Amino acid sequence: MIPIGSHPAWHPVMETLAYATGFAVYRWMRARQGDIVPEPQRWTVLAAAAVGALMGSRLLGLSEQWPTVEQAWRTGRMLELLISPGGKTIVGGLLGGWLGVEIAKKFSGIQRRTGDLFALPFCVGIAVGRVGCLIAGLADDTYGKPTSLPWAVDLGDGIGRHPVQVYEILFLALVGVIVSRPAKWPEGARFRIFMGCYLGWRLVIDFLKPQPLIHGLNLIQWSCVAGIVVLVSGGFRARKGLHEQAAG
Amino acid sequence: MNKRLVDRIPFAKILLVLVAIFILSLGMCGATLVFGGSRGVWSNLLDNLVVAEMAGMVLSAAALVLTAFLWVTLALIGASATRVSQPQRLLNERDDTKLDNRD
Repeated sequence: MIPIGSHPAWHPVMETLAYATGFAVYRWMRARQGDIVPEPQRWTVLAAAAVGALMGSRLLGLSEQWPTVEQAWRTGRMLELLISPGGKTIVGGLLGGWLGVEIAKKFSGIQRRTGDLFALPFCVGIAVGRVGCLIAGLADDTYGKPTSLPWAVDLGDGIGRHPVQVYEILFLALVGVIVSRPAKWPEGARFRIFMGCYLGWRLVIDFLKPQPLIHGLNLIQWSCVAGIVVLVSGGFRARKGLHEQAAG
Repeated sequence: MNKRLVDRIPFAKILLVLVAIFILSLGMCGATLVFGGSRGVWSNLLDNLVVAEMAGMVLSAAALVLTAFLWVTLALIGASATRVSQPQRLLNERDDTKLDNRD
């Protein structure tokens, strides 16, 4: 068993580092391969993604901890709960950010698919953030179920657990290699591959996390299912559009 | 001159600056707690620093919500105003006085 312990104060530090690293990778990618949308439109997309991500991650995070929210509401400590650093989820952030960008694109009349530049930065940013989740240990709700495997981690309670955060970092490294391949892919494909892989991964890996279940899946897994359905139906619509274009 | 208000104010940039302030305050708050663990003679300074960082988080979060709300509201008003102010075509004729070759 590998001793890690629980150090919750490290979580916000690593979270900030994750955003900073993700943004640095995004800037590097944009400088290297250029952008398909002009700069003012990119600002709009970035702002919509950031606001949507903050709202989505908080909303799903709080929904996941419904009893805590209810108690905070009853004791009048709602504001305190809302500004506390915990209670955010990556899946909520990704889905919220995606929704935010789609809404902003509708308002701004942006037709192009703008997500490709985010695929690799997301992989790097989430991987860095997961280091914080691992160090935070039991204080963060992302730890794994007990196991007797030799690489089990002790988060301070003497119980060996699946290092689910390390599994995720390895998985993200693999996805990062795939989405950064210099292949000629259709516009938006890199982002869709990333989203599909990540939501699929969370749908599976969350079975290794001790979360309350609703009809066999936790709330994050249900959100992953919804995201995958939207992703697949969007893919079908795009293919149909391409066929119609080719025929017409 | 007659640019819409929503286009005149750089909402996207303002929002991103606020997001950056929020994230930085969050990280610095964590860093203060991590590295200022031993405290001692710096106790008062660290307490004040944590308060300032928390204030940064709260104020940027409040400003973020307000700016986002304003952006969406003005965008909605702008969109509906554009729809209303579009000239009605009574005759299906081309305006040949235009020298613009965009079609």
